[in-house]
Parts: sequence; structure tokens; C-alpha cells
Amino acid sequence: MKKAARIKNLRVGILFTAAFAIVLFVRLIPLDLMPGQIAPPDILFALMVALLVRRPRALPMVLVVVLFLLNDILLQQPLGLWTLVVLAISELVRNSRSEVREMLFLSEWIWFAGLFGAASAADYALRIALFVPREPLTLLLPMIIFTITVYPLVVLFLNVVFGVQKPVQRDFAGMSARS
Amino acid sequence: MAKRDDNDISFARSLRRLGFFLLLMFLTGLVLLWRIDNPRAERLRIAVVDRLVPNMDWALQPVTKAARMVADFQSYTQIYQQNQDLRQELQQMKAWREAALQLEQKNAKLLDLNKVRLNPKLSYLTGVVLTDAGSPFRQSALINIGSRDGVKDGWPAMDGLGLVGRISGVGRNSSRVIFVTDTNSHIPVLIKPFDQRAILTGDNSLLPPLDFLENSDRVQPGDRVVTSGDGGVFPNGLLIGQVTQGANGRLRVRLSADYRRLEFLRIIRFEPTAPINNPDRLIGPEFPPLAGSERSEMTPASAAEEGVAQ
Repeated sequence: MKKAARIKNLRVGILFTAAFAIVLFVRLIPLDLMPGQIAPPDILFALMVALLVRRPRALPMVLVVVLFLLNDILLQQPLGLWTLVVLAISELVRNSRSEVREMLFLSEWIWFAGLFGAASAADYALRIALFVPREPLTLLLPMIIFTITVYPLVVLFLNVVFGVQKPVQRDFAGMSARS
Repeated sequence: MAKRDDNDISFARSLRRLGFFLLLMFLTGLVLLWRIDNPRAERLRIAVVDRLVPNMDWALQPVTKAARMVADFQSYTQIYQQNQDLRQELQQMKAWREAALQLEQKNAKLLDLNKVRLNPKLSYLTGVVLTDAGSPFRQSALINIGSRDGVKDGWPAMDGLGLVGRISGVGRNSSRVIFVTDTNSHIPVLIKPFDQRAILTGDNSLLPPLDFLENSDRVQPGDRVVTSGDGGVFPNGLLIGQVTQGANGRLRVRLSADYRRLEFLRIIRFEPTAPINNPDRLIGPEFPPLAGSERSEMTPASAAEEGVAQ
């Protein structure tokens, strides 16, 4: 039982890395170099949060840091800034996952909206503090709304492709044995 | 037994906490390094990208090509209309070509009569666009030529017609081109025919605005905008686009480069001319001692300059 769970965790971790690589790859393809488009949603963040709520063991801290650092490097973001925010948020989610698991999906969605809003605000505040050029709000705000909108799809994707669901909570002892 | 388990769990937990703080410190250090010693951190980034992206070429190229083919296929639906338009345009172009040829000959004759020496022709390298910046917040692209091919920081990049951007960051096998439309791009420009100077500032749109314009009365929509060469970053006279008027009356530039289909970029080899430091050299460079035969060929104007310099 325990070994099976470990193998499943490994499988989900590899799937997450693959999904991350594909998203990054698609974003880097030079299809349209026109400026002033709509910013795509931050699927990687949504995927990470949804997975952390459902199966935190599949996503070690080091993997999160390595993948998001790669994201920062390849997308010309300030080195490590967004990764720093994501690491803090991931730890927050890990610690509060048992409350989130008890929520209905609608309240989880609202919780995610607050979380992503807070993460973006923290990133923005850090940029102001460090005098880093900031992203224009006209592009940033639609991106935040877009990301919140796709969260249910990400959860569905996680359910269908990864085979990861919210664990049903029968009793406390059962939960600690799982995951 | 249960007691030991508890100990194990609390030990693992504190180890995790330690790991978390170490990672947090590491990332904070990285951000600060990037902020304080930016060139070094950017070199680090370029090294990683240079190692990674050219190796992904085998996957990037087919996907890009396939997606372009789909886009091309969609345009087949309007092929008849396009054909008609192109024929009409070609007819106009032929007339212009004839005019240009005649003017070129006339120009060559006049230059010869005046003994004018223009700048030597600029030579260029051509690179293929590998990836874009990946987010609409940054306007840049990665191309497949780098220091191995002699690319240097700051060289201008053009598509066939207009200026696209400049090189910013050179790796061994790849280099990054920051576009004119990026918010970090500020280019000194000259607006023909009245030679008005201005700064072209990127603002994430295809119509970047003109700032610090000398005299906006002498600029009209439709005027040509070229690089002025001020500051020595760009050579002068590279075509950028045409002046248009924005919605709120602000003067903007319609870029000549076609950002929709950037596949190849021309990187112009450009070594800025030596700056003039001594006031007495403002008249001209120090001439080597002239032989008598060469002196007789000099025009009166340059002879006069020579006299002033001495």
C-alpha cells in the first residue's frame, strides 16, 4: 500500500514535470511576434496549487524551485523573483491543505482567486521595492482574471490526465496514512 | 515504537523547514545578485539559455513550421483576392523601380561630379528566429547566431526592410534581440524630409510613440523615420517606418518591419566611428603625410580644411 502510493507519487511528479515542459515549450514557439497581445494565463501556477492541495508528496519543494527558476530564466523574468513568491505560496498551501480539502469546489475556487491575487500583488510589490521595471497593469489584470477562470479546467485536467483527486476524508488517522 | 515514529516525523519536519529556509535564502540571494550585479546575472541566464535552447531546435523547428503552414493554409481561402491585389501592387512597383533606377544613375553621376565619399556599405549576418520571449510583457526573440559567428552586443537587427531591434545579450550559439516595441527600447531617430530629431520609445504596441520631438509642426503623418545614429549605438539611415497620428493626436511610428512573419533577421555589422576627443581634430582626422601627386587631386574644399587644421 505504501509502496504503491510512492510509485503513484513519482508518476504524478514526472507527469507534472512533463506538463510544465510542454507549457513552457508552447510559450517559447515564435509563432506570433506581434506586441500587445493578451497575456496567456499562468497555467503553471494553477497546476502547482491544484496538485499541492491534492497530492503534496508528489511535488517536492526542490522540484518546484527548479522548474519555476527555469521558467524565470527562459521567459526573461527577473531571476528568482517569481520563484521566491511561488516557493512561499507553495509552503502556505502545503500547510493549509487539510482545510482546503474540506471545502466545496466553489469555495476552493474563491480561495485560489485570493491566493493568486496575493501572489501577483506580492510580486508587484517586490518589483516596486527593487525598482524593477513592472509589467503594465492593462496586461497584468486580464492575465490574473484569465488564470482564475482556467482553474476549474486545470483541476479537471489533473483529474482526467493525472488521475489525481481530492482524497475523501473519513477520519484523521486515515488521512495521515494516505498521500 | 510509536514514540520513535513521532521522533522521526518531527525530525523530518524540522529538516524540511531547514530546507525551506535554505531555498528561500538562495532565491533571495539570486534576486539580489540579479538586482545588484545585473550584467553578471544576465550572463548566467544567457549561458543557461545558450546551453538549452539550441539543443531544442529539432523540436522547435518542426512545430513552428507546421503551425505556420496551418496559418498559410487559412490564407488560401482569400487567394484570388490576394492575387488581384498583388498584381495591382506589382504594376505600381514597376513604375517605382524605373524611377528608382533613373534616380540612382543620376545620383551616381552627381556624386562623382562632387567627389563625395559616402559611408561604406554595411554588411550583415542572417539568423533564424528560434524562440520569442514567451510572454507579451517582454518583446524579444532568440536567434541562432552568437559570438561564434562574431555577433556583438548592440548591433542592429532588421528584417528585409525595416529595423526590428538590437542585439542585447550574446551567447556562444545564440543571441537575444530586443525589439523596438519593448518598453526598454529608446532609439534616437531622424524624421525626414526636415531632419527633425526625436526618441522612439517602445510601449508594447505596433505603433511606438515619438518622444522629445524638436518641432512637431514640421512633422507630418507619412514622413519617413530613420535612425539618426546619435549616441553611436546604431548606424544612421536605417529605415524604421512612417509617422502616423495616434488616437489622441500623439505622433507615432508605423513600423516597416513585419512583426507578423519574422523568421529571419539580418544583423548589421556595425563598428561605431572613433569619437572625436581633441577640439583641433573636429575639422577632420589626422592625415598621413601626403605625396605631391595626391595633393593635386584634392578638391578645393578639403584643401581649405587641411589648411585650417594646420
